[in-house]
This record gives sequence, C-alpha cells and structure tokens, in this order.
Amino acid sequence: MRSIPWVMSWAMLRRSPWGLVGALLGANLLPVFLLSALRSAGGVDPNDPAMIIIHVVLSQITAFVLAAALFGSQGPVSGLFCFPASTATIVTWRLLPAMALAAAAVGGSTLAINALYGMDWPVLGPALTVAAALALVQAAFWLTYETWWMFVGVGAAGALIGTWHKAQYGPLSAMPTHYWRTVTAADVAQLLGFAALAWAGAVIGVGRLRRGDRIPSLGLAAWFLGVADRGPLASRRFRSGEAAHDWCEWRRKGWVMPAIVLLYMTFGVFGWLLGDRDSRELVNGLIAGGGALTLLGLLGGLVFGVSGANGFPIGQFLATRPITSGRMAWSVLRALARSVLTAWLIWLVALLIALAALWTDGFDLRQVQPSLAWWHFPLTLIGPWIVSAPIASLCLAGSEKRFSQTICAVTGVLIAGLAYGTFALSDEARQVFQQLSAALVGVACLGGTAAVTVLARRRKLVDTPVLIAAACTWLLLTGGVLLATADLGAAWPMTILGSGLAALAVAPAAAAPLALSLNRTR
Amino acid sequence: MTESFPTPAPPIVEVQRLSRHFDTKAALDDVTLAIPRGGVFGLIGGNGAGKTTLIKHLLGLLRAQSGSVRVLGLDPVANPVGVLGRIGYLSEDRDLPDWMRVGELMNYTSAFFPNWDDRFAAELREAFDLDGRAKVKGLSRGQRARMGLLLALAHRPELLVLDEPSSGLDPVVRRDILGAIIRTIADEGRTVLFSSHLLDEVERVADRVAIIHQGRIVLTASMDEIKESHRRMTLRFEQPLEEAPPMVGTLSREGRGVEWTYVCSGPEDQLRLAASAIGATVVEEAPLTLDEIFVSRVRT
Repeated sequence: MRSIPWVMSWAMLRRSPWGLVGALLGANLLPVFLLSALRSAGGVDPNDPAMIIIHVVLSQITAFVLAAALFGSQGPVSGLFCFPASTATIVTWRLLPAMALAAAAVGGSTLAINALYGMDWPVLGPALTVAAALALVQAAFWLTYETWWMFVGVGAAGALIGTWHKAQYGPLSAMPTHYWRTVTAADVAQLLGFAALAWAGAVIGVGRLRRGDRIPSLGLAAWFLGVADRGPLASRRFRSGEAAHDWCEWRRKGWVMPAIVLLYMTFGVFGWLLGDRDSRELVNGLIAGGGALTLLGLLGGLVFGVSGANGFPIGQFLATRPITSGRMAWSVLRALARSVLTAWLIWLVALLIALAALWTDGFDLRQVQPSLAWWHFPLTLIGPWIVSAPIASLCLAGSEKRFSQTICAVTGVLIAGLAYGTFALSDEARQVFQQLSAALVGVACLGGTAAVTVLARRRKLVDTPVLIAAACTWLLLTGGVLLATADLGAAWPMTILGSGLAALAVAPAAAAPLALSLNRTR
Repeated sequence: MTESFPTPAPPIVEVQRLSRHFDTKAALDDVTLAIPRGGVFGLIGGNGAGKTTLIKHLLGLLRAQSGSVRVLGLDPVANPVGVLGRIGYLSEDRDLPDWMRVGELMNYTSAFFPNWDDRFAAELREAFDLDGRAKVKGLSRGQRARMGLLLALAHRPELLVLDEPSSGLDPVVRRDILGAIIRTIADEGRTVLFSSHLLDEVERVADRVAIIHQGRIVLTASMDEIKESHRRMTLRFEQPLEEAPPMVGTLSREGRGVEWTYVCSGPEDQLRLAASAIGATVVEEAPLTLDEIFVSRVRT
C-alpha cells in the first residue's frame, strides 16, 4: 500500500536501520550492565527505595537515547517540503510513527528488564511519556530551528516533560518515593495535551520553515554577536602563514572549552546560591568539576580535530594553504593547549574563590577533602590534555569511519574487560587481571607513541628539537607518576600505566602532523 | 593527436603515466600530459571524466598510485609549500571558511603568500562587488565564486588553476571579468589551467586544450590545430547506401541514401583523397565547433 504514513514510516526505518538497532542495544546496555553488577553483588532488591531512583534515571536515559536515534533516522524535514502534502499531514506522519516506535521500544525494554532481573518497573507510563517527549522536543526544535533560541527551546521542552515524568514518582523537590504504578485518566489527558500542544507547535514551526520565514526576533542575539565579533582582529595583519593559522584555529574553536566551563560554573554557582550555600559543598563540587575537565577533553578533542567544514576530511581551501602539514598540525595543538589551559584557569580561579569562602567559614581543604593528594591539581590540567590531544590527532586523520571504529573498539574492549573482571573471576584472580590489564594498556600506549613517532620521523614531519622536548616532557611526567604511585603505594603495573598515559601527552607531537598529512594527501 | 610542444622551456606541469583508482573504478588511467609555460590551457571533459582528480594530483591532494606528477619542476606531495605557494587555486566546490569575514579571509590568505598584492586585491574586491565586513557564510553562490577567484589571483601566481570557474558566476561576470582576467594573466606570461564543461567558454579563451574522457586523455593540441584538423564533410555516393563505408580519419558518420555526413580528423587533402578512395565526392565542407569535436571524440 503506497500512502504518506506508509512511506514516511518506511523512510524512517530504512534510512538507518542499524543505527536504530544500535540505539536500542545501546540504550539497554547501561541498565543491563548496572543491574547485572548489582545482581552479582547481591544488590538487586525490587523493594529497595534506591531502585526507584535507578529506574527513574535509567528510564530517562533510555528514552533520550531512543528518541534521539529515531529523530536522527527521520532525516531533515525539509526533504518533504516539495511533496504535495499539507504541513499538517507532514507533521502528523512525522510524529506519529516515531512516537509509536519510541513508546514500543521503551515499553519493550522495560518488559525485558523486568523479565531478566525480576523487577516490577512500570511499563505504560514511561512508554507514553517518551512518545509525548519526542513530540514536544521535535516541535521545539522546528519552532526554533536555525535560531539561537533552539538551545533554549529544546532544553525547555525536555525539562518540562522530564520534570512532569519525575513528578509521577513523588514530590519534585525530593528523591522519588514510589513507582508510577497507575496511569490515571488525568495522566493520559495531560500527555495527550502535551502531544496536542506539540503537534500545533510543530505545524507552526514546520510551516515557518516551509515558507522560509524568519522567527520573530528582537535582534538581541544578532546584536550580541555583532558586538562580540567586532574588534581589531578583522583588520589584523599576520607575520606569517603559521601565525594566521594559529589565529584561525583559536578564533574558530578555542572558545568552546572555556565557554563550557564558564557555563558549568555559572549554573553550579547559581544552584549553590539557591541551595544551602554551604561553602564545603561548593568546594566539593569544584573538586569534582576538576575531574570532569578530563571528560570535557573528549569534546575538546573532537572540536579541534575536525578540520573540514562538513566533517573530518580536510576541505580543499585549508588543504591548499602553502604550509607544511607539521606546522598546520602544530597550530591545532597550540590552540588546543591554549583552550585547555584557559578552561583550567577558569576552574582554578573559581576553586580559589571557593577556598577563600571556605577559609572565611572556618574550614580548610583537608577537612573537606581528606583524601585529596598533591597530584590531583596537576592531573586536572594534564588529564584534559591527555584525552583531548590524542582524540584531536585521531580526528585529524580525516576518516569518520576509522575514528568510530577506534572509539567503538576501545570502548568494547574496556566494557568486555570490565565485565570479564567483574563477573567471571574470583576476587584474587580479578586483582591479577586488573594489574595485568593496566600494564598492558601502559605498554600499548608506550608502543603506540613510539610507532607514530617513528612513522612521523620517516616522513620528516617532526624535527629533532621537538623529539627531544617531547622525550624530556615524558620523562618529567613519568617522574611525577613515580612519585604519585609511591604516594599511593600502588603496584608496578600502575606505574607502567601512568607512564603510558604520560606518553599519550606527548604522542600528539608526532601523531597530529602524521594524521594531518594523511588527511591532506590521500 | 598531440601537437609538437610550443616552447623549448620546460613545461609548468608534467604528468607521466599517472593512474588512480577509487576502489575498482579507474579515475585516471595512464594519463600523460604536459602543460607549457604561459598561455591558457583548457581541460575539458564530461562529469566524472577525471578533471578534478587530475587537478587534485597537481595540488598534492592526491598521491599518485602509479606514475609521476611535477608542477613547476617539483613534486607537489613532497614539497607542498614550494608548489602551493606559487599556485592560485579556485576549487570547484568553493570551499571557504564560512565563519570569517571577507576582509579577515583576505588578511588570513595574504599571510601565506609573500607576493600578495594588497592594491590588486582591493581592486578585485571592488570589481567583484564584495563587502569587506560581510560574512563568507552570507555570500551568494556567485559571490563565493568571486571571493575564491580573488584569493586565487591576488598573489599573482605563476600557475592559476581554476576548477569549473564559471560555475555560479552570472553570464556578465563570466564573459567579461573572468575572460579578461584569464587573458591578462596569460598575456603577462603566466599560465592558466582551467577545467570546464562549458566548451564555448574554453573555445573563447584557451590556447591549448586537452580532452579527458573516462580517465584518459583522448586529445591534446593547440586550439588552432584542433579547429584546423577537424571538419564536417558531406559526401555524395553514386548509389544509395544502406550503410556508409568506413573512411580513414572518421570520428562519426550519419545520413542515408546517397548523401552522408562525416565528422573527420586529419589534414584536408588527405581526407579528400580518402573520400575519393571510397567512391564519394565532397559536396560540402564546414569547420566544427569545439562542442562538436568534443562530442565526436568522446563518442568514438
């Protein structure tokens, strides 16, 4: 049967079938892993109140992953604008099949978890909620598409439905107290209300996009961007191509990591001001934030490593600049280092202010964080670099496929190793396995660094002074690792792991030029 | 058909037996080509013929799988700075950094080229009607093409490589400005290599032409020689024929009965002799346009 609902559902499933299957498996991986670990430790008790929290959080994560995959598999709505169908028809048949699939996937996942782990998690409520959430978020996306309001709109829609979902499990301001066992007529009416609101908003939004109308605007964002964009840089002259490219990399990507840290700090401080204003909590939050900088390195590496306008492959404009791949790669690394350092300094200043507040309240850091060691602080700076620079180098090679394969392989090996160590080994055997694994990872990092250095050297992409500086830096970091492992009383495999990770800090000096030269000349 | 080389100076581009495969598809198949210094060289071919792949090899963006490439006497992969610093390049996809302003992009690009001529760049910006404060992202397709052209020209390169330069340009800019620029550069003794499938344009400005088809160079010669050596001949036979007999130098033939039209390549007197050898008399003879020559060449 050829009809609009049929072809739109078919297109959604056909565009990226493996992506949908992957999302379904991925969305269930975390609950399965977590519940398996808990069951292995004898901790799965359906009546445990902590299980309610786990259910709420996991069901929201599962819903988010599945809804995002379905949304992605539908492709841009603009592809439907030239078809002889009304905007209302397009919106209806974009939303309904995706909503039905999302509800079925969430419901099916919950049923499977209930069957596998003997749980009694609610099925219907979360399934209906994800359908309404998908519609609301899509509507917000279309209403605000290609405007600066998109982040606010999508965030607000997600927050609205997320808060409503959380409210079904107890008071909003407290931890969940009970399961959402019964979906009442009032609940259904509210969800239908969300869906109707979403449909109306989506019709307005898609209609606007179809006509090419701009969203009504006060021009505040344009004014702000205009002010931010002014300055001496537009008329700046550069002393060399390398200096010009330094400016280009920093101007285009350098702001991302500091901006995220600043945003995180602002939200954190705002939340703290609204809360109990305990300076100890603020310091604890900032210390944890220092660790989170390393995770931010993942994003930083991606941002700096993507060199093309439409993805990983370098564009022809950049590729034809008369500058060596080595110098171009060094521009990327310099801008990345500057970005990491700026983000870290923002965090450090905030921490110092918090420590001053702590001191004023009559506490010191030792009282708040008794286990905090001296190496924590340099690690908050080196950590983001060790993550971001190798990821940037990997991206600079210009192949999304190779990058995804590497990330999937590393993640797969980590999960498999973790699962094997957790579920298949005795306590003693697990310890030996973990130490061997640590040593192996360390040796792999050292070997990989040596290999890329030899390759880059053969292609004349790294000079001798750079190699000497890299070797000295590695020795210095390894010295720090030795002191830290001695301080911790850790076994020798941890020293090898630390030394291997230290090698990752200097590997980009050779890996980035090598990757960029592969990207530039195929 | 290959004409004798027009100048004793070493060629600015020298490609020897270059082959390139993408998976199993041969994008370039044993290509040998020499582009002399000075003048305008047109590289013509249909979509997917291998024009852009060949140009990417000249710029060092693709490594030769077999064969060799020399540009300005250098290997563009081994010495990218030495080659790219002396080349102006306008890419087919008009890939420019969207986030920069026109003025910023000019300043950024000028830093790479010691020969960048600020006055010339400003003149070009004026002529191309580009606002220095405009974002590249906001430029129309035609404006992007003009911006790319400005960046390729302003450092007065020894070799200007234009990949489908007319794409996106309106007819006035294409005919008046682009044509004038190309001729000016050639008159200054520099070299222009441009690829196009707009054959009337190539015919108007090119001194020499290479036709590339399915990854192979099927013809390289000066424009004059190409025009002289290709003609359409209408032949009359004594008896009506079901099928016209083959003739030396024929690229294509069509007609019916006693009158048949042959598209031929070769010296005029030899073609006339060949016509009489198959029992036909030449009743009409006309020169071919480059478009007709291209079509007849790629169809054989």
